[in-house]
Amino acid sequence: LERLIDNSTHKNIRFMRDVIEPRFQRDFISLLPPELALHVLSKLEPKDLVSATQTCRTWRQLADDNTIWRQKCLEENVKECSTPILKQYKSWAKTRTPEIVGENIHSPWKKTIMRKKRIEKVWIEGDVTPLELVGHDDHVVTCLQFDGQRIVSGSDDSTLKVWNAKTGHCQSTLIGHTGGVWCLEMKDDWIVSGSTDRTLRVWSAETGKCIETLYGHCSTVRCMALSGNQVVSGSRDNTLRVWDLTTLKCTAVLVGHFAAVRCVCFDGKKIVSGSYDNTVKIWDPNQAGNKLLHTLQGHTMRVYSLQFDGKHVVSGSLDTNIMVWDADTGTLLHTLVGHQSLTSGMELRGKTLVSGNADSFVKIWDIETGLLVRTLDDKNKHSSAVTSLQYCGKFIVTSSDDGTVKLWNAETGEWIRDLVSLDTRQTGGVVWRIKASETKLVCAVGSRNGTELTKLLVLNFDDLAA
Amino acid sequence: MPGLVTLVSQDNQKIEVELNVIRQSKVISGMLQDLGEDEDTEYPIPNVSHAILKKIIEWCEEHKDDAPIDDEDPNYQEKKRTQEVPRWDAEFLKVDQGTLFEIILAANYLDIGRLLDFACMTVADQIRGKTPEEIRKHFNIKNDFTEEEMEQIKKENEWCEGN
Repeated sequence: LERLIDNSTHKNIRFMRDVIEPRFQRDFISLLPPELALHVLSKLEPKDLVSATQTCRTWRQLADDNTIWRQKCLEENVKECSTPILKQYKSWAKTRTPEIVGENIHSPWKKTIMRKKRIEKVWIEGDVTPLELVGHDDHVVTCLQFDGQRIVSGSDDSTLKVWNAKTGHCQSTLIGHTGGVWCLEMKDDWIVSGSTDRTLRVWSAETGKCIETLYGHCSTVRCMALSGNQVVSGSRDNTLRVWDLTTLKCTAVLVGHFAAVRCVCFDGKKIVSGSYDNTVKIWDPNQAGNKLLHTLQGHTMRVYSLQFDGKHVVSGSLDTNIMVWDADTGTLLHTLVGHQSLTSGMELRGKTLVSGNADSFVKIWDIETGLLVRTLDDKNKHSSAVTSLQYCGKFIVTSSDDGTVKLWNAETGEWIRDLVSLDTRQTGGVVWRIKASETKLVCAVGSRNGTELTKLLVLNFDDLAA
Repeated sequence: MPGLVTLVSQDNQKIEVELNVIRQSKVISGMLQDLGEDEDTEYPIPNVSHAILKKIIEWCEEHKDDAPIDDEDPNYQEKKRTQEVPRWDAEFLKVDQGTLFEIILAANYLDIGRLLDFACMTVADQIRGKTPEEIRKHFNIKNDFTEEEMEQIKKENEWCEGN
């Protein structure tokens, strides 16, 4: 055989190779028992599964298997199967055939993940024209909530507005407060607002009617947290009050802070409050008598922001430090040092904390080790105080006094792009607040010098997602 | 010799192997329990050829001191998902597709979880990062889609993950 090969022309050797080689090849996916073929395919990433689908019929059938895609969804933390309905895609279904929408993909989980990837792509590079929701005149939007469909904005003009996120239509203006609105929470049909007029008001989101006015605080209601049917309000009168939304009665008054309560968290069991008296307090509102569990002392200046996951309390202060505490024992676990100014916003996801600071930086920390994971430092970083931030899937979205909203890769910390960049950003235009869903971003923008009209911008990353 | 058992392959060849090595096969382990660890007994492995059985034993030799795996442990499941094939195993599995195919079948038949997993990952690695055409070429697959189907499948599978 060796001699035969030696005597053959190059052309013939190549022919032999082409004949012999396939004999060593095996079409694993078609020839293995289906459960083993699926075992192989389950090791692939969605992107490669999609390539596998396009090779031949047998591969397609196996690579489109719903159980594999369900597993891929779980790996990407997608726990619900949400297949888009064709009519939701009106805007582009006009120009494209239904097949492209994925109507022919049989696995609902695959549809779900394909849709998610499409939406992510639009976040990253889609050309999205924001919807402009103009209101609140030239006043400041102080608080913002968004449940995916409904947007509620609160302003120091004493009103709140309820908007339809899809159409941008203002459904109702909630009139009743006699002072600026400084905090708001929403749940189902309930909207609860707190004001400098010392009251809380409970509204119906549907009708826009005020259901009840809650009296009790003797100064501005500055912060609020909602859990189940209970809402907790923190006030400049140094106290917190717990209210039952079904009976519309005050069920507890938490006395102990020596200065204004600036921020509050509530998980249904424990209330955590941060105050201008430099302390954080943990309360049990369901305990009879003394409800104070712990006073967390360590900050040397006012506490402005809090996160609470049931186990850890994270507090941000004007003293530039962020402190991580054990919620059960009240002991200080870590002091996160690195910011230069006031931490305005934080979000805790698992053991990862993202913090936005008036020093214009956004930092990511590991609260278990107390170490800085990274600073979102890029030549395109914010040039002024960070006002608001949110985790959104694989992204972090941040807003700033510099008039921009920036999109970052949560994993690598890389700047992706500016989602919003106000024309007036050099002359006073600022972004006060942002709220995001998987498919939409709501930004409250304006200025303090009249250069930018107060308005909400709604960016929809879904409609184009085809 | 004590501690040795004799396996008989599909092609009727005998191989002696240490008990503590071959116990990694849950099937053989079960057989030993059922039939007793009698030194004179020969254990038939009718689904596996001599050559492949030798490969399997070679793998088991290397892994005889590994901690047993716990399939129920969610941490293990997570680790399994994110891990790569270890270097020794990657080298071991650098074989032609035909042999790899037989190893997968044998590992499955003998119920050797980790080997099955590594072998399947090796195949997956050969698919990863390839275009559909490259996959076809690599595994000698015939494209049996009509042109119309091709067009449609391509469209509905348009991968849009931005990077």
